[in-house]
Amino acid sequence: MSDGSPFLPSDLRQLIDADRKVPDPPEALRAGVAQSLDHELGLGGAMMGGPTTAPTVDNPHGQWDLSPSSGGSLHPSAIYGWKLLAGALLAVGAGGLALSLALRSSQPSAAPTTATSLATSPALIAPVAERVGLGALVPGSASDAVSSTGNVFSSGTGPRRASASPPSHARVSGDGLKEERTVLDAARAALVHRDAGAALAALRSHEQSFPRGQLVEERESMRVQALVMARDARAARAAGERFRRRFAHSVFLPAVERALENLP
Amino acid sequence: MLVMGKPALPEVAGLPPAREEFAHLYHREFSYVWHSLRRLGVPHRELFDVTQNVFIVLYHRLHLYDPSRPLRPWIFGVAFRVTSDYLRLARHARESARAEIETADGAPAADELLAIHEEQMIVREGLAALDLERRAVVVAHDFDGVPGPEIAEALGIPLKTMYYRLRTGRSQFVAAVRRIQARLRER
Repeated sequence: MSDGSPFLPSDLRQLIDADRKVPDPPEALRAGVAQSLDHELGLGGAMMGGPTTAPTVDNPHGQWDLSPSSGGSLHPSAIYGWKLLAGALLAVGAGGLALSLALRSSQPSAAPTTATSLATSPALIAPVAERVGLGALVPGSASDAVSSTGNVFSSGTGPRRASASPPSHARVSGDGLKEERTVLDAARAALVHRDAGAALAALRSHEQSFPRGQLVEERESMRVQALVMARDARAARAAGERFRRRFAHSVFLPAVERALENLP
Repeated sequence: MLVMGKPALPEVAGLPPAREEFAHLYHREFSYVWHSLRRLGVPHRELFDVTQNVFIVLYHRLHLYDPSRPLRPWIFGVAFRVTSDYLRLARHARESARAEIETADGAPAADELLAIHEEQMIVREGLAALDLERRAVVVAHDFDGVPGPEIAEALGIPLKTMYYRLRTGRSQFVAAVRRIQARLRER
């Protein structure tokens, strides 16, 4: 503290010190906001890297050299992989979402029938959305308005700097993708609210509605996080191992690994 | 759930930061932004969205940051403005904003109740008694230890105004804490 708050009584300074000890938000929140920002800003997966070193005593205000030439101030180990992915993104000329889709190119697209059935069955989403206080997620309600605001529950239609067309299968099944996104947004919101049960319920809904969907990779990454949050270590490790095998080069793998690190 | 719009701050046209730079900034400052918003009175259930909006603004304005200046006061200024916009967009009058803070943050989830120390609850309610302008100055100065001139610069206010808000904000904060402590003793 710069001046030691000389006009505050000592007991209040102790209270402030206690507030400084409030724990940092859980990793799932950091990952969730990062994922939303990645979609919103079209950063092509760059946000999915891990946390970096906290400010040090020598740098209490987080003073930081942002100049591109200051390579030492960057976080090379965590970012290197994302540079490769960004390069791959540019190579295929696709936006951020397209990168994830490209990585899933071996998976068939969602069946229109399942997407339609979900869209006509808001009951699949409503319980989870209501549980986490997000009624706008229910299809047929204000979901479109919510998406247009660009908040966390947008369907990835925000501004993109990489404006090339997405892969053809994404265009063909855009409605299905939107429905998938809606369900997974509910799961993510539940994770944000530390409601592992609701998150797992939403993930099960997605699995039932989109067994071969385009966002399976994202779903399975959230399943690991939800199981960790639910303190189901055995299931979390098993899900993590399946994820590693199935999506060895996933952009979500760092988040999965960090979640697993929280297991006892 | 409050449906929030995009950040009301104007998005200044400029060269966006490199993705890696922004990702680095995000992962390094996420917790700082989160705690700043929490202390500024953003309800717990809105922290996710408001934190995201802060980083959207940072992304669009990062080219305006002067690297010779400390980063965090600059980030705090952005967080303050986004919080102010959030409260205005939510049509929260000052009094209702206090009520929002008290009802939202005063009633955390059951598992959180177990983890939150009484001292932290007193601080939160004490800060909620201040208006946003004074709260921001007190948080930046007394919680984050930012020098007065940097706070004034970050918030875009004269230095004299900053010290006035600090003095009166501290006084109100102390009075609020004493009321809360007295209430707790009566239990």
